[in-house]
Amino acid sequence: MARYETAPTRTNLLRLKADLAFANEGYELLEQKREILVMELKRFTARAVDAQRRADEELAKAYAALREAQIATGVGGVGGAAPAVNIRHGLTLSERRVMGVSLPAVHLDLEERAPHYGPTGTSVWTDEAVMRFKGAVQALAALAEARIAVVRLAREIRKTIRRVNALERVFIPDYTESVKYVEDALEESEREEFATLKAIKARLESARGGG
Amino acid sequence: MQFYVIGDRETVLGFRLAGIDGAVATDRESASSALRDAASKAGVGVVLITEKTAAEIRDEVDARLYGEGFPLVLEIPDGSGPAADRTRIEDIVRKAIGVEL
Repeated sequence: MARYETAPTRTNLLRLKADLAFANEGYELLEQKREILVMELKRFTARAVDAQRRADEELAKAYAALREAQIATGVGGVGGAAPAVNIRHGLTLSERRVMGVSLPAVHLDLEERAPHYGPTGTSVWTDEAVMRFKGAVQALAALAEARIAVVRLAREIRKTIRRVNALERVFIPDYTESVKYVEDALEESEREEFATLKAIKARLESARGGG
Repeated sequence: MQFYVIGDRETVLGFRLAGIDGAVATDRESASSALRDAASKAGVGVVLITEKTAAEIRDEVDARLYGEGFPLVLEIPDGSGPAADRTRIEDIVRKAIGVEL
């Protein structure tokens, strides 16, 4: 497509060759980027699937325990216990970048201290619910890290593939075709020039010989 | 750093048992302002938001999901279980690399 817009001159040939080289280089780099991202994605996939399943299970148990606790003590009873539960969240976050994608690392140390609520007003069900929700939080920390990594890597891979495809299917063939067109056209005009020069030379010589 | 939870009353109550603060969100406006509040709170590292509440403010949740920095946002099931229209991890991966896992 681009070749129809290109005048066959030496300057344009040099420019087109530079563009083609640049497109080829970009293609190589994007391919490498895609490979690295896919490798990272594969590293996280199994973990994310597993963490999702575990988090769903732990949460289902936690909600069930919460309902039992509410039946046993009333919403007020469970709500009353909540502020007294003493858990320090050793939640540590960091992030690293892979090919421009920010991947979080989530680390959770659940360090528990004795709860402040007394035996009155709470139930064994409340204890159970507390325990279940803590378990769920642990699973959710693992899920946050793995699922977010998967989602971000997957999106960057799709973007990279679109760019690789555009270079491979549109830009590189276009530039290649344009370079060939300009080269052919230049060669053709060189041949014509040569033929013209030869004709002129022959005419000059015959004119000199005749005179 | 801390967790923070946004969702229905039951979910917020449950996570309070695990020592996690939160805000009850019942509609789009309250969800949106709860998320903005959570993000501006010092020390909030991960915001847990129920899938139903996240669906109300999809764009805001996605902006944080695909963005950088903290807090992270993670969608969680509420008491009624996982959302039927949740995007499965297997599907996300298959769409990206085109192979069945």
